Amino acid sequence: MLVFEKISHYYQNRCVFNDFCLEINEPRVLISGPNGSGKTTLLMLAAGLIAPDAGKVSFNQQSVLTTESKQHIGISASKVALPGFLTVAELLDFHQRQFDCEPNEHWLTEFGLKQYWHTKVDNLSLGNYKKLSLLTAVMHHPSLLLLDEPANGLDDKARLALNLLLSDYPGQVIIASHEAIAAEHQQVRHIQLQRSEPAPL
Amino acid sequence: MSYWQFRLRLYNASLTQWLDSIKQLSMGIVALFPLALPALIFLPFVAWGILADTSSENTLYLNTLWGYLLFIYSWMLIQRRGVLATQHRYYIDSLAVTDVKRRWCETGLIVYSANILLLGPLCLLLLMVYGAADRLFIFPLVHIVEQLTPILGLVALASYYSVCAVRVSKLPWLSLLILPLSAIPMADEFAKTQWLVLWCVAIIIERQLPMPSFSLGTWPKGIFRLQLQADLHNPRSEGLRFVALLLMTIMLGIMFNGVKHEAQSYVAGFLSFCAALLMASSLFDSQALLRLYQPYFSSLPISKYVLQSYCLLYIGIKALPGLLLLSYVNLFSTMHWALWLLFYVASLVGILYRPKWFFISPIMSAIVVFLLMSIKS
Repeated sequence: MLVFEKISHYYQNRCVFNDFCLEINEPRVLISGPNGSGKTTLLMLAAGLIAPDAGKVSFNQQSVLTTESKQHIGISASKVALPGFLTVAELLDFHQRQFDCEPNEHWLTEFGLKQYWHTKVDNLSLGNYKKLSLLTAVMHHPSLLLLDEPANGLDDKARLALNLLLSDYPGQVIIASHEAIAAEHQQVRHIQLQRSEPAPL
Repeated sequence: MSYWQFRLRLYNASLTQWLDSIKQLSMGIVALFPLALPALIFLPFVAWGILADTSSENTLYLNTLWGYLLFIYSWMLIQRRGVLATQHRYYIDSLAVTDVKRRWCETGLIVYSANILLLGPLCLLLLMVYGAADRLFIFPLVHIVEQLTPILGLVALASYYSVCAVRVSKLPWLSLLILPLSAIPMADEFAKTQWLVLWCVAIIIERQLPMPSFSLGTWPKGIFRLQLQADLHNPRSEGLRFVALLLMTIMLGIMFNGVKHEAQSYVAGFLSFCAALLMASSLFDSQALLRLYQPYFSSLPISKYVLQSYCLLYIGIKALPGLLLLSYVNLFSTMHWALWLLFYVASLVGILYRPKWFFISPIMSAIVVFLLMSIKS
């Protein structure tokens, strides 16, 4: 269970979350809201990639800021830039060594990434970069999968593959998106975020 | 705005960007060595004196020539993007400008950017020819050639490396590294003219040979591979650091051989300080890499301390070529090696904990060492 306890987070003078509390138990969650409402920030907080200014985020009673918790969390977001100077093969090799896991051959084939094996990450198209990012997020089979706009830049075939991946995924999946990608699947909790206005100086 | 003015504007904009990026480092250097800047300005004049003089010692001549060419090559390499307007390449190529005009503009920009380093020796050559105009027909041709060869060689080689840095992607590994390193120990075996001919032969050979390349294969793995790939992807920073170390070693090596025996230890001590600072500054690149991909690294199950330890270990391994160079020139005694280690560790600590003021900790340790040595003596 993912729990946000009295979270406050600011970007300069703008308050994104103020005493924000949320418990997420459902296996599939769709977070939506207008631009700047804090969808990506919520995912980054959930992944422990940014520390909140106040409050605590925990997954299965463990703070997401600990190194151990990373083993149970996977994230794909444009803010989590992958090292562009590595080739796809090198990045996957590096990633699997860190998580002590194997890349899933099935998803590599499904996403059509094998043909870009020796291409530098920087030279990938937007769609292929997204596929690689998704692959690194699911590679270690995390119990909590966080996806920011996962369908962005994907072609029809890759969207189909993504839908298959999401429907069969055994862990908890939280998606931040404008599109109702996960809404087609079983029992999805919908969380709507509102944009907070900047505080006057 | 003419095409030439447009290209000049692009060059100036690129130079301004670069100067902005090194502002902090330059301020650090000026703060550290207030007298270094005027001394640096006068260095080319000293070098021209040595390089134009037929009676200068061969070792000194070769060392100075190597340092000068290395400097002009690196200086032009830094400005390459500005001269070629790489950032706006596609726009430039879309303009209806003939190839001849484009090449002439680029050549003009090369001369403009090489500036005093290229025009200085050329003016000196013209002055020498003008000054000796009345004697040109009195002395035998061999004598005149002998007198003018060193400065002619300098003009030719400086022009070649200025153009090479901008237009040739191949690095001059043979003529600017292997040849001088192996030539200096046997500098007196040949005359200056012969060395210049050999230098030209080395240039011709290196242009024919493919660049020595190596494949990483499957080793190293993990974080070391990631860091190594980052360096290979952007080799400019490490390359320039090594060139700076080479230049510093050459200049202080010349000084070391020129001063009295009692003063040599101080020169070596100064070299140990500068070399340690320069080699430790590699940690800035590692820290920048960690910052650039901070969200990705945070998503990995590795603690910040483990990641930092790997970085430090990698920096230590990267210092090995520099250490090999320092041991090859053989200026250090055991005490200087110990000093190098002290300054190196102090710089690393400074970069880790106070990156903006990293030079304070090596300076403090240098002051403590200086005081201890004064008390002892």
